[in-house]
Amino acid sequence: MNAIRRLYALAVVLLPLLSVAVAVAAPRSGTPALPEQLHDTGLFARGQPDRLGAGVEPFEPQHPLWSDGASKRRWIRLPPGTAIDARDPDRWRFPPGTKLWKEFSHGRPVETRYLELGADGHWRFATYVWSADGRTARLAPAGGSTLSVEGAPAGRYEVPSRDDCLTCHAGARSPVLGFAALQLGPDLPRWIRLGRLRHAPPAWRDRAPEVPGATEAERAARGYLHGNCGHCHHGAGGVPVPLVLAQDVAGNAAPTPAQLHEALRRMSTRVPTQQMPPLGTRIPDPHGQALLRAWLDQVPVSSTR
Amino acid sequence: MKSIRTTEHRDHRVRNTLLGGSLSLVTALTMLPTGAVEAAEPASPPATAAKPARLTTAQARGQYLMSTSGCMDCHTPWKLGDKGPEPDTTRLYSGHPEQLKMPPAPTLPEGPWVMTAGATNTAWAGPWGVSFTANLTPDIETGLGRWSEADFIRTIRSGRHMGRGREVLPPMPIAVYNHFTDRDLKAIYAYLRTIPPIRNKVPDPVLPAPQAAR
Repeated sequence: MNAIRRLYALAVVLLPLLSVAVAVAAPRSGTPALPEQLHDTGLFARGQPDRLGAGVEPFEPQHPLWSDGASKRRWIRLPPGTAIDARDPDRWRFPPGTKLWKEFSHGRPVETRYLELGADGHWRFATYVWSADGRTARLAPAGGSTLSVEGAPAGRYEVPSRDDCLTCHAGARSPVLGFAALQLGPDLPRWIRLGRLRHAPPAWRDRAPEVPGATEAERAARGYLHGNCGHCHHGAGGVPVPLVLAQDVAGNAAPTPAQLHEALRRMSTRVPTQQMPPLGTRIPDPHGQALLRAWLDQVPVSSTR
Repeated sequence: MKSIRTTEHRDHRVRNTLLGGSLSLVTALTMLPTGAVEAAEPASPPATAAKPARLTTAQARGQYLMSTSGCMDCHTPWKLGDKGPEPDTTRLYSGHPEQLKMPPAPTLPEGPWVMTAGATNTAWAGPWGVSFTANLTPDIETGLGRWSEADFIRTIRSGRHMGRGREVLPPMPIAVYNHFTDRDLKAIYAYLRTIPPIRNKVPDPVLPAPQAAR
């Protein structure tokens, strides 16, 4: 049975069985609709995507999420006069009005994802799909979509639904994943000097905290796991499995070799019920696999199982 | 519009929209429950084998909802009783029995028959592969013992295992249970914490051959 017939058959099974209906959240009164055009979020001037909006700053995480080979750019905008509260070093609190963007490209911009913290303390998530000429980007359907994109794996690109956004961002220690203590690296002290990061440990003024490790291979592998798995596998209400792959600023225990082997197996498969991460990728990350293997090569054989 | 809350609780409110035949829409478009951004509440200690003397109002509500919403039909294995198949309440809500190794599902001929179920009603085969009903008891290793209330609610809301993992497979009627309010789902979770933990590791789902080969 081919895929289309299988999908059809599945729908035939489920439609009568489930009395299917979709639940839609009742909109909160007074919340403005998301802008239809990306430039109206403030990222860039209308018709001038290379000209950033006022107060928009680029940043680069040290341990980026694998996105099937897409190249990415990221920006943040904090409202004037506000700052991030780093009192809890692993769970920064962002001021209302904070906006973040992440652009995904395969030879040309395809999609820009958008996070916004409202005055009511709610984060909103949306994504915008770029026109082929790269001049405008329009709000994507809430349910996501599939695009034909030359340069993307198999020429296909999945735009996530807003529910998909929540899968990774809602259960994390902070909904902002890439702008964090262990991600900013050498750029972190600058944010303190600018007064945009407050209540940070004094030592950060000179040197940003780093992912721990006895060797460079260990640091790189633990950093990769932190950036790619830690938003769900953390010890503060993450997924209910006994596996912590996030790093704490204060340091925490490394995963066991057996856990690393299982992580490597999961990140190397794309069988839908077994793959990790469970969404957002259709091909394994060869660089990430190499990092874990390099670390495992340093672990004594007797302790690998 | 999708958002997550950081503070006060508000019951989940939904309105219904016809699905229109697209499975992708089965995923709920709802707000997340309370505390989605904050650390999930630690799971309360699971019940011991001893049955609690009396359920709280919320726990009793959860018991009622589970007994009237078809949960028993699939999550408690059936056995053959004097009057025919009936739930084996010694395995209450423990899912597909670990020791029951299922042979390959029968291949159905082309036509309108697309799904088969095992005699325990805990193993289902269809176009999605083979799925096994989950252990809902508070056993730490094999059940929901480590799950927080937020994990449980998020799973029903998102249609994803543990709220963040693989998709929950048919025939679990996520799209129906998504109509439960947060209060109802909390009641169900509260009741599930009271039932005896049963150690029973449910097998992983089996995908159709083309996907499993990837």
